[in-house]
Amino acid sequence: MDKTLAWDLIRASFRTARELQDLLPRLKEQCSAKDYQDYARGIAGAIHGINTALMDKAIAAHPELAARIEADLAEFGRIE
Amino acid sequence: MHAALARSDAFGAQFYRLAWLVRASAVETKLRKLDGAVRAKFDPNQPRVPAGNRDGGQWTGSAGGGGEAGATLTSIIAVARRIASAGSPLDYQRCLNLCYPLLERQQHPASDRNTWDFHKCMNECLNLNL
Repeated sequence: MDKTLAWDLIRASFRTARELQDLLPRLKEQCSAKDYQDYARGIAGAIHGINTALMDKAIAAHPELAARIEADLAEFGRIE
Repeated sequence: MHAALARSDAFGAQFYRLAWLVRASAVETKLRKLDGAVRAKFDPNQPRVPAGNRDGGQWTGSAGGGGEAGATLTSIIAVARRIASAGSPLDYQRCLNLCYPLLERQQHPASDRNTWDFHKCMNECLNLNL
């Protein structure tokens, strides 16, 4: 896999995970504790699925991208 | 004679299985307690009074360093490693329960820190270190 495509997969994984996480505060506010926990676990499971199916494979193809993720997080707090 | 030996072997196997289940249950109980301690913001990195002092082993001061979020991450990753080393088919749900609170931490808007820490936690817990 091309390194640029691998990085785009990683960015898409983070972007999707961010959008799903943005729902957590609203779910917590509007749902019962039990419903919230179900949704939170569901979101976590979905993020894990995306990470496994996309991000891990991209990093496996280009291991140096893990260091780039760490560097971006340290500098910007997010993946640029 | 053979029948008596066979019965004895069968009893021995049952006994060892039961003993194994008791030990496995004890490990499970300890992991649950540890998990509970982490959720109550237990920090294994918090310094202790050195051995040889009257209060040796007691917690002292605060861990400092990466702050509350950092300490929580360290603790959760430590539990994740223990679950991985215990190994069982139920790990996925247990790992999810352990790691998902990392996604709830307060961060700067649009931060990706929680996603990455959650990813590391799940991979540690499931022994998927890539």
